[in-house]
Amino acid sequence: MHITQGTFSYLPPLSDEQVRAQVQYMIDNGWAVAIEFTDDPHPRNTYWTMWGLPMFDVRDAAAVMLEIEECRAGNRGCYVKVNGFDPSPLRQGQVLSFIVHRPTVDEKGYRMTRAETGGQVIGYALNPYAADQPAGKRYARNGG
Amino acid sequence: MPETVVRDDALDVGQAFRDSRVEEVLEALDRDLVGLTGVKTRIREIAAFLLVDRLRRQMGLEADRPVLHMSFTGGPGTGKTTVALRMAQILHRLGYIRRDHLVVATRDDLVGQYVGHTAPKTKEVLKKAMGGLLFIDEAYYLYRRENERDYGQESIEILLQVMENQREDLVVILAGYKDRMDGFFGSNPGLRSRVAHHLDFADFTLEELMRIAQTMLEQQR
Repeated sequence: MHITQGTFSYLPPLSDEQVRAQVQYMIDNGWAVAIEFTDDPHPRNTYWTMWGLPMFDVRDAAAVMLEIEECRAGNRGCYVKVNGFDPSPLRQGQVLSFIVHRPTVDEKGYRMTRAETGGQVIGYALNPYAADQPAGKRYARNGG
Repeated sequence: MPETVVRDDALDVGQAFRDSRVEEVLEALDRDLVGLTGVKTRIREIAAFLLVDRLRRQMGLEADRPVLHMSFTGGPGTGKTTVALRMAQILHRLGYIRRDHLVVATRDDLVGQYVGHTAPKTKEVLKKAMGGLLFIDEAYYLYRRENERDYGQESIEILLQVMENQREDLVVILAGYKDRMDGFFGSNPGLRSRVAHHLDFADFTLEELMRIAQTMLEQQR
């Protein structure tokens, strides 16, 4: 299952050239660019691990591309995303975020579980199959 | 019929030169800086070389990207930083760097104080300069011969790696006193071979110093 998330979730995966152009757009707007990675693809998982500090004073996308490349190489079995944070007084928030790397092995989907509670109310829960494995072994080759 | 037809796509070097608007920068250099004839000539040569290289590439001729890393040597106050700023403009107009910006760094900015501090610090500066020009002032302080455990060596290695692998993203200028830079390159052969252009800034003559003083007085009234 091809998991999508963030600003360009409706598009096919961006090429490196497209990523570079987006990153340059963020820098030109004065946004801080941050790289994060995780192997827990649950949509509610908002706390991904930071790859270094956000980059506040870079002027060219090449610097960010370098970090993305290093993050990918070090975390083959993870999702990697790039965030743009607008520090201007009125916004002060993340305004752009997209996935730049996916696990190289099969991306697993989600299991939906039903839980019957009182009064015949049914609650639904979504669990990534990946989360059945302990962190760090979720997208490893040979099933971890 | 002999082949004397002028092709439409024939090269017009003069036109390309005018289009690049490098002439303005070169003229400003001539006008604003007193003396430094040798340096100015050398910069014109470099600009001409890069222009031809770019044209070659436009014509689809195989050409490796020329190495642009430079070394500026000369006493303090001979205009190394000023010329580096102009160099950024020239390289930008010729399309060899994407951004017309210059980051000045010294040993303090590159070398850390404890184990594991140097690499992130150097990388931080390199990332800041990417797309433009990195000017390392008094570069010989990076290498301290008397202390083999000095962290400067680590910084040089990272620098070398980026200078080699990311030539499209970063141009590095190393600057400092002539004799000490010679010693620095002598003990770092890897660095020497990656620096293509050596510019030597001669000391000003008495007459040139007078002209500079006059200009300064005129500005200050």
